[in-house]
Amino acid sequence: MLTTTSKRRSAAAILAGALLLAPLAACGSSGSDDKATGSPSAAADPASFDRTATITIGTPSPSNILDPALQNNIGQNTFTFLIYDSLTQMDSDYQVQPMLATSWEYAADGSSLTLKLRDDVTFNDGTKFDASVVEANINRGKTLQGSALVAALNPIDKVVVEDDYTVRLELKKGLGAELPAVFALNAGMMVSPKAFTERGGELATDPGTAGSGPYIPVQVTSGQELVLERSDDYWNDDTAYAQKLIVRTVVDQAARINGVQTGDLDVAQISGASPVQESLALVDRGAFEGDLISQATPVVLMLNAERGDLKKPEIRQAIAMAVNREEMVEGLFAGNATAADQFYAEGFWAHDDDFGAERPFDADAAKKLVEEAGGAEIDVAAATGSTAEPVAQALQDQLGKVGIKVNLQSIPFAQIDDMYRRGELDAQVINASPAPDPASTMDYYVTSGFNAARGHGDLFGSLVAEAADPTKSIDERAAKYHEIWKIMAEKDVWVPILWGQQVWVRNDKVANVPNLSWVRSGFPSYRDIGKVK
Amino acid sequence: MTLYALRRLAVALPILVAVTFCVFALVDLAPGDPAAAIAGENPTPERINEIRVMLGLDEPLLTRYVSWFTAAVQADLGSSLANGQSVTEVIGDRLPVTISLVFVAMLITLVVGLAAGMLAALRHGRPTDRVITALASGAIALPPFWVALVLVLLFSVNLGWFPSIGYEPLSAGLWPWLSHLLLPAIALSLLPMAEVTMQFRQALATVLKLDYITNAEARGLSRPRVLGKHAAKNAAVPVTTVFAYRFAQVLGGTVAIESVFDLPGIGRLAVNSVLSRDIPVLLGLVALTTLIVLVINLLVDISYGYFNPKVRT
Repeated sequence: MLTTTSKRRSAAAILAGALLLAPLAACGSSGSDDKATGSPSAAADPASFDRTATITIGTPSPSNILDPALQNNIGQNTFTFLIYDSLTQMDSDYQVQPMLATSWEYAADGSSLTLKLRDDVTFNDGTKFDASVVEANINRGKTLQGSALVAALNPIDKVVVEDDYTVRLELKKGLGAELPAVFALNAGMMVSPKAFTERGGELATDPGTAGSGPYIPVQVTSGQELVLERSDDYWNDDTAYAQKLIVRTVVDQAARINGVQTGDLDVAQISGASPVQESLALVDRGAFEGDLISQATPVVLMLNAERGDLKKPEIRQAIAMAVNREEMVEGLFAGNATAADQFYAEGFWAHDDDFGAERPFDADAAKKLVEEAGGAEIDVAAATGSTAEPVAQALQDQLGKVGIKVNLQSIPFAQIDDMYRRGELDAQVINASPAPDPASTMDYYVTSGFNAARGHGDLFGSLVAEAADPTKSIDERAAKYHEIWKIMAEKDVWVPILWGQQVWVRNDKVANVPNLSWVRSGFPSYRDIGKVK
Repeated sequence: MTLYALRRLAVALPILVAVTFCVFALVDLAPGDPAAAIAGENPTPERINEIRVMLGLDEPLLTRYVSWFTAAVQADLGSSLANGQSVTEVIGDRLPVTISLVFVAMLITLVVGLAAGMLAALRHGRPTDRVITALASGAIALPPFWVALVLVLLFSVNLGWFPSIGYEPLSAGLWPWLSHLLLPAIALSLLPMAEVTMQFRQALATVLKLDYITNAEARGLSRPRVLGKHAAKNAAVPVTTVFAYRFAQVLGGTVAIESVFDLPGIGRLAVNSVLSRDIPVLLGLVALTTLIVLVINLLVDISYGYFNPKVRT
């Protein structure tokens, strides 16, 4: 156990080499304050893992829906990642890497995407994985009643099986650049056609052997607990280091912390300013170990330019200039956060390293703008009990200092996003989840969905389509997105505030947490977690 | 007695209808769209509308309520919006946890509360009485949520005597079951236990001063017989009222306590269903808890008839 921040930083430095090679977990953390605290090494050698171990994980998300086509929120991925393989996966730089698809290529005119598939994969129910399985899954995702994949799979017009292990996706014109990245999530998770044909709706609550993933669910208590055992025939030996995983939903943060202290849990995820600080204090006191991970999920203030005083460009500009990020990072998060000037974190290909702070903190200038506009009053909403709520409270104080009266609205999580999408809110502080491909992010947050660009007219011209052109290289696409981010900052479409940090508290046997895929999204895949002997 | 029970039942049924309708209407009035909440990431308006129609949310409020209530009286509470599981099944999975918790809490309440109340009444005005009264007054002032946190820190985290989270069914063994329930049950029972103590102390002390008790003792009846057969029975009416009232409160208290101890009961389910706008589950829970409280009240009303035959008329 390491007892001081400086010691944690030392540990991080020692492990830096290993982390550079690690998957998504450590991604883009250059300059981040990620700290691997305690023993064993966060990047422990898999050879040292106890393959007979049982690991009990405490997570805030309930395991309600275990059918990827019906998952209605990103938190379910924590469970389905263990059960199902996906066509692709993400690496440490949010670059798409092979999983069930070994390679993929767009047609020169962008009209189709051809995927080559693995030929050595068998579902846990004995069904062989091949191109017909991909066809069946995509068609199911597009047509199943209640499917949550309709929007994600919308760019696909038709699926054509070219041979047993080659499938061609014919795309709607100008769409589909995000598909390889989308296939790393539930839209790309493959379910045995035998299972969904024979068992239908049961899959959501009892998937059994329907996946080809490294773990098989043996006991599902919906919304409470998922018990999984390792599949002995899994095609990839470099994962699934435990014999048994118990993923238990423990909603209350204090209960998760207590659970690790008493040994009822081996590892638990803690988020939010105060709980993270409390957990780190307990790490320093030797109560348990902890891995502090910078999140790639920014806290952002969305501004609806169609409502009230936010219709005035000068008020939106004043808001952007009145936000004192450093004060929030230090005052609210005790330094366990990073000020954000854009949506994508450092290390991700759409992040702009040369992005200038278009609206640096300047309270005097903001105050002058507000005075000239004759004052302003806005409502700022945040989900009840979310990590965004304290940020909204801090914003009320900071904006109040420049003469903007802020009325806070605390709205249940299940309602707030829908209300913002429907244009019923002035402004919302959200803990955003950038999609693996910015084309999806633009669709979800900017041009439709949250529709951050509403009230701004035609902001981007043909830029959005050009940036999402699948025939362009990543560098060419990145340049286009950098232009888009710049326009959004200049027009104060939204105000990125900070990237928070989460801590995974654990006992001294649990290893590999910082290396977990998707750990920076807050919804990790626990496939690679291990327990040293 | 049967007529008396039927009369009480006739009063209970409209209450059940009124409570469920109020909750139905309140949920409907709340901002946000349950169809959007379950439509997945970035749903199109068409998709949301399709789900709304599928769930019958496009129907008028009264039509939906009548349809829900008609099915509910046939034990069909619909399906969870979260995963399509039958609401009866969802609640059935969780109910044993809450029943166990409430049972242990009320058992502690009765055993400790009655014993302390009796001791205080028998030592009325003496130091023992004063200590018990002071402790009970203190217990009334302590919020159960805070007590729960203190108990976890003391007995789970520091001493390691009890698990801090989770639940084991009785089939796993008596101690595993009880060890997961003792701390939350103590936290839940503190307030009703204190009230039962105070009420029983006061009622028993009053009864013990009555002439018929003096007469019974003068006739040579033993002290335990006088207490058990003559005094305690007459002192039980106010205690029964407090017990019933506090039962509803303990049931409501499980919402917070189950979260602290991560007990997978209906209290935690209620929180989750509110946050996720899982209306069928929420309504099922409201109907069930209302029914439980009404049944307890009915039993208490009937017990008044046992303790005091005059109320039957």
